[in-house]
Amino acid sequence: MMRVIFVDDEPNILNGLRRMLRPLRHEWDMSFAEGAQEALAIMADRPVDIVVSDMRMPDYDGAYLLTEVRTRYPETARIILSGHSEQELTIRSVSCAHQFLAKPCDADTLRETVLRTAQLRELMVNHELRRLTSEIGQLPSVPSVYAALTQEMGKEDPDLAAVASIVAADMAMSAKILQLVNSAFFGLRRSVSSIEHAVTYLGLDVIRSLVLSQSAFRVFEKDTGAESAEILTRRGQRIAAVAKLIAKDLTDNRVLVEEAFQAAMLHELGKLILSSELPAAYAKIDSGRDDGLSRADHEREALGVTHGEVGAYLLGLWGLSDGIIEAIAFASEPAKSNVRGFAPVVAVHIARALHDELYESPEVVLAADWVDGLDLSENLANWRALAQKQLDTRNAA
Amino acid sequence: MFQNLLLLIEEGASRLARSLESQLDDAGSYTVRKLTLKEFTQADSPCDGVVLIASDISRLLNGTLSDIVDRSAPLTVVVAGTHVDQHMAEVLMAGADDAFDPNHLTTPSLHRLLQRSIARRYQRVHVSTARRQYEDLYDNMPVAALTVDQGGSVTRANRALLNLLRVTREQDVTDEFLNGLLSGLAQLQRSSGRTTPEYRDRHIISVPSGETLHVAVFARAHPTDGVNAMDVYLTDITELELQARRAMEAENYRREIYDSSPVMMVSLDVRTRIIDTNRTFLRTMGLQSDSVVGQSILNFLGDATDRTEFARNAGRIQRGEVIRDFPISLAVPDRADLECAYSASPHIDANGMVVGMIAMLVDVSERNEAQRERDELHAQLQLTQKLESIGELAAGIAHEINTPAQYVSDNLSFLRESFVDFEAVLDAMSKLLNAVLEGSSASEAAAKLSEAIESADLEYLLEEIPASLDQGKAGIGKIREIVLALKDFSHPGSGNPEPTDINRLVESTVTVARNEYKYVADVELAFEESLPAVSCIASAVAQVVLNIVVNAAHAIGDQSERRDRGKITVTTRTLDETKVEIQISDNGPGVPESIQCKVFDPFFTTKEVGRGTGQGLAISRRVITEQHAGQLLLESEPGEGATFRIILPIRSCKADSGLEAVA
Repeated sequence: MMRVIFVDDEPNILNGLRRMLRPLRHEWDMSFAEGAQEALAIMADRPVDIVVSDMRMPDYDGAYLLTEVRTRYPETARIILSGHSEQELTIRSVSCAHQFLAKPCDADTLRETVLRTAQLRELMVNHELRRLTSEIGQLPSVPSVYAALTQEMGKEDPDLAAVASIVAADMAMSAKILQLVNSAFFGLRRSVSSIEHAVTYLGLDVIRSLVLSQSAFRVFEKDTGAESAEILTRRGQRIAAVAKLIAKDLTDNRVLVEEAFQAAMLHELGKLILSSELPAAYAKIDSGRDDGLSRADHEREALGVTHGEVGAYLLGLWGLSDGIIEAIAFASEPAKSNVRGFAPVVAVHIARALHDELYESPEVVLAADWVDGLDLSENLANWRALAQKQLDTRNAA
Repeated sequence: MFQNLLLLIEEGASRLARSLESQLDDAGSYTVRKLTLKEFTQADSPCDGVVLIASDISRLLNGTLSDIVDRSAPLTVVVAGTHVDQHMAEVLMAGADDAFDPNHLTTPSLHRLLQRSIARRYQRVHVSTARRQYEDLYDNMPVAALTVDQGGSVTRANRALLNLLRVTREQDVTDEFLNGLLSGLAQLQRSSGRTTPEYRDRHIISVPSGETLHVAVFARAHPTDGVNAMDVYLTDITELELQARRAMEAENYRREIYDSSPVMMVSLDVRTRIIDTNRTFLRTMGLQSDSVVGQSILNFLGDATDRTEFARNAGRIQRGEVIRDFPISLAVPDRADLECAYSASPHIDANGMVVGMIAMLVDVSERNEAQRERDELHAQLQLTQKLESIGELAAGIAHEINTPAQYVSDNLSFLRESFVDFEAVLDAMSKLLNAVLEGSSASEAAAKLSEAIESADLEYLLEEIPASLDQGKAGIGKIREIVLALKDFSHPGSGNPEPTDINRLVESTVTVARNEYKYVADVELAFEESLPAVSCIASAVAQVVLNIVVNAAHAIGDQSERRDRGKITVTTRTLDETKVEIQISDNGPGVPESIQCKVFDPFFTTKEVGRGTGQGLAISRRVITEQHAGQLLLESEPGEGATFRIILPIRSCKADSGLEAVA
């Protein structure tokens, strides 16, 4: 049974939650604490899987609690449920909380968020990785991109569009920005997948605070010998451009197109996590073996999970949309997804496979049967040409 | 005695003379001037003398004897005497010299000679007396005089002239001076074109010592010698000239000050007609002096109100009052009316009569504009600060609302879910009821009901639902409370003082600020229930209370070493029949003595950047002191906390910020 603890200084909130969640009493083992210290005492007694905490509380606030939890129980998923919307608190909690829910939060949203987090945890069969990934507050950024952002933000009148394109050129920053903009603190009704929209929505002040606080972004410090963040990012950009074309071909839904683009950008985020958190183990996988197995198979053999699953897990914890999570998790093995019809994973997988084919470095091979099952085989030639053209253009640029 | 005697001694009478001399010595008090006949006839001044023949002299003097021609004198001398006046006789004596033949004395030739000589001498003596008197007058008169002959040479100069020229002798009167004087005169003579040779003018002359003198010159032809000579009289007017020049300079100086003053100055007569204005006035108006002088000042005023006001004030000035800083507008041709302030005072003559007034006008358009800008800026600042605090509060208020909203919503969800369970129970009950009514077997239905009751956990529901309803209601109450307080707090009002319930104002404000302090402190309200309604701008006062309460909460919250909750006490009370007080005390860190006097300064803040602009207390003080004529005081014992006292007059006596006339 999944163990969840709710922390709030207002007893009426806890009473309300207790009653509201009563129907789940057979699925969830729930505890309720009126403050950070009480919560930590309960957790010391019996660790929990998910902590849902208020942000502002007397004595020790939510940020303190979640930071403690992150240190003591890194595996525990950390969710903020707060009625506050102060920027300062948001920025403070951005590195210690996985997700943010805003009060008043309806029963369904709360239940779904907790359930989704629980399911994600089940997806991560490697507990060591689950622990490592859950602990992650920030991901390493490409130093030159980070420098460019710092420089732009240091200007008297920074250009929003320039900031957006800088952020978009870095997986770590993109992921963080998307986590933040999709958090309930900003009260958006729909999820945002476009970095440009996200940056516009957050505004320069928030971006500046993020840059200054240093709790959101950090620079890649060590060279792990693996594919560098630059290489991953550039590949992500190339594939994202193609994925967008394919998605546009298949749907008029702009949200899905955005998700496909963003998922393609971030689909190798797991590699970044692995190279940063488990550099030694990851380096071994990366060296590769010529045994006819896919890279995903190698990863699964060594770690129990693929880099796609690791990336998807983190972004899932961070509350990015299901479409993106699914596309990232299954970019190289789309058949494992339950997709019928169009979903971002279709565009991301096909774009990735065509890219590898054209670059003659086939890490990902087209899942032809799956594509055929979706009745998309006939489009392949067309997309291949599109990809060729797109990649030529990018190379020329 | 015979002081003015002339002793004439005929040539060759040396022996007689000697003899006379010795006799005169015997007489003791007389000197004898000895003259030859030739010397006598040429002499131009009389001299004293005495003659021995006293009886004859007496006779000569008293007129009983007009002439003496006597050769029978005891001495061998011939004496010829003649009466001049009672003090004077002229006596001619011819000594009986060795070579002198006394017989000659009796000759008619001598007599004739004597006669002639006496006659001439008589005439000469009279002339000489007149001349001496004239010369005495000439020499001693206080007017510098000189006589110039035709050739341009000085023939005479008196002492006054020598004094004037700072010389001692006539000879020292230099050619340079003379030439200067004469050429000036000649010029004058030509230019005057007058036939009468008489001239008057002023000259600047250089005296030989090098000094420059101002002189008044009067010159005329010599009365006796015709136009060929000239008498020139000079009066030293240097001092007068200097005084005149000093007076003129003083006047110019005064005028310059008058003209160059940046203040417009206008002198008016009692009927407000312009007598004089300074340059500033003319320049401001773009007018010339001649188009202004003589006109009424009213013609230059902006509108009818200005004219009425000015005329009214003019009446006051004529009664001796002084007007200060009265607003007025000037109608400047081809431009917008100019906002001015004027001061005016009566112009009083030597008899103490008001003969006019002197008005000074200052262009206050910029000053007024600046004042307006300052007021606007202040209003803006006040608004900014209010928005800032509302912005700060918004998040807190949202939280205050969101929290009850959360549990109201949760409780509703619970109730909705519970109702489903209840429905199942009710459904089972209804089935049981039907079974009983139909008389069929109720045991199955009863078992189902029991099952439904079990499944619904009815005991729990019965226990929880009332609590859930109560808490839901309480949550709505909380929301209502804060929304009402917020409405109270943010009510903009008319911007004018209105009777206000201060207790309610404080309560709403504290409620709105609850989220700012509730994590660090408790607020205790101690209201005087009978507090009178206070005429004030409620939103502004509420803002001040908010600032102070939030400051107190921040101060307590920033005490990092503090473990216990702070306490903020807000007290209201009536101070006296005219004033009430809102006192806000905290037991925070207090305000260090060194900055107690600075906390009301604009931009003074101890908070980090981004947490307030440091305007809060500065604006608060302005709001209380300027808008409400109250006081905002700080008392603080560092370490013991701080107390702010807001003292408000019960009746609004908002200071008039406009210009005021002062009698």
